[in-house]
Amino acid sequence: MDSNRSHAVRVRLFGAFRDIHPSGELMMTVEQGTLVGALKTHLKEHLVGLEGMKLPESELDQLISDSVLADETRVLSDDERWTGAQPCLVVLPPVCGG
Amino acid sequence: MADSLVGTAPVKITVDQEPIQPGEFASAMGQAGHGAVAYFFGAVRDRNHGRQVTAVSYDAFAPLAARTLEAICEEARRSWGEDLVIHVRHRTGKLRVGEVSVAIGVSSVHRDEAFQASRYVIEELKKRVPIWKKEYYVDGETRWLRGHALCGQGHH
Repeated sequence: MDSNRSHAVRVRLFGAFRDIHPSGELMMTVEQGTLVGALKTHLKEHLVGLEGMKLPESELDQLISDSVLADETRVLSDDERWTGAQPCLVVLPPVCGG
Repeated sequence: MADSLVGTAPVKITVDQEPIQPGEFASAMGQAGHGAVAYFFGAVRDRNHGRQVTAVSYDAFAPLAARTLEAICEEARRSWGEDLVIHVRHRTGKLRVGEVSVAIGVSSVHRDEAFQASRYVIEELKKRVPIWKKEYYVDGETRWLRGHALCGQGHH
């Protein structure tokens, strides 16, 4: 992996993900140009082996599949490529405010 | 409406942990020339899906929540009048039963626009704004509520 194209990215977790990773944050190494949809697969790889993971893998799969990635200003489309410009990625599960 | 309310900012959004006081929220609304203000206050219920609730925690990604609420309010103003004044507050953190989680106020010349716009704002908030709720039950269990997936919503 070309180190100039790989970036350590802060990933913030919200909602149901906080029960999985209570700190609400993790670091992922992401290669520039990766499809946003593929980043969700990387996320699953980070979460599935966590000590104390209580969620069955199938439920984790569904939660990640139903979630979107975003930066501070907008939701990112699964088919766009991560440019490396965003210092932080945010994982947003299905919403239910109000 | 009081003269001191001339020039109220047309859209005001707050997402934070401060308790929402309906009286205080209402007193900040209104606009000269407007004859109607519609308010919606959502509060934590003591029962949901047959379970007794003791509290609810609201989690929010505040920067995008505020931005999305602002967009929703601007859509309402485009639909029901650019003269509408809309204020929205959403509280985060742990709330007890009965506490207000969300407040929406819409001020307009006539009541029809105020009612319709306020309904629009709360319905869109529930589907689009990055806020989540976790219920606490009397038996000690907790549960993050299922919600509306943001994928496939055609993001701008």
